[in-house]
Amino acid sequence: MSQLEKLSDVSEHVLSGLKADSQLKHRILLSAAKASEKTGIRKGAVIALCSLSLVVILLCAWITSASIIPSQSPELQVIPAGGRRNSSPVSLQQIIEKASEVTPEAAKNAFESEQK
Amino acid sequence: MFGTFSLVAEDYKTRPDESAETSGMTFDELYEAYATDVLRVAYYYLGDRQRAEDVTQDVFVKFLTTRPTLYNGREKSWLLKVALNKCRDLWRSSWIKKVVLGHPSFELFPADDEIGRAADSIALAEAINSLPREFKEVVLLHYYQGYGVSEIAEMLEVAEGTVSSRLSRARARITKEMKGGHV
Repeated sequence: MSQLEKLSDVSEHVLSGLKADSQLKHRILLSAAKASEKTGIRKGAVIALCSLSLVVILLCAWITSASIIPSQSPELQVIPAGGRRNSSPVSLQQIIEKASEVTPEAAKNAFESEQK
Repeated sequence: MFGTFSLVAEDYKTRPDESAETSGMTFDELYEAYATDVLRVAYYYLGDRQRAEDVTQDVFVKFLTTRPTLYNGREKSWLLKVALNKCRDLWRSSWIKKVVLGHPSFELFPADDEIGRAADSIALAEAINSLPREFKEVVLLHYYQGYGVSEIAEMLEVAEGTVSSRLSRARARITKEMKGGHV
């Protein structure tokens, strides 16, 4: 058998004093604990940063009174030709109610008098 | 403290076969079984005990912090693969070029009762230590750790032909280094 084939045995002879001992194991465990701690701190920092950002965004929204979620349906603003707004806003429901009160005959009479 | 870590995250992608079971080895078991092998391979590679211990430490810290999925019978190859990658990183650093390449030395650590027998093996150990990095890797994995060409190719992520070629050239270099010695 060549010397290279016996490398495992040779290494046992020349490096038999080189062993992974309990001191190295202790170092590994300490280092792993520190690494885990750093990871935990980083995660905490990221969560804190995200929370802070959210608070700032909500604060900005509140300050500018920009409603993120509409609380009620908007009223229909009637703006006649000429651009002048009515004194009081009229809802779409009110217009529909008024229109339903007008009979076809009344509408016809009104149209004819308008033509004259 | 870390002895009961479960192995979850995927790191060592190559799975031996579909039926291979996940390793149930704990840190303590892995350390007892393979830490000395990792340390010695790193030492052969770097020629510096302190650096070899640092590499061994990094390998096992990586195991504890990343919790890789290891399969039965593949635990050691994962540890050695990570160790070799760490060694390569160190080898490329300026420290290793200045200190090791500038002042090559390979201190041996025979046990007290092995000093006499070690004298016969020093030449071979030093010849291996003087090999270029690529050759040293395959020689250590094949002749020291007993891995086959295909396993080494998988670990080093190179073609099997490349591993065979490197082994052949490494043998030639060692023969030359030992000046006609029977290698």
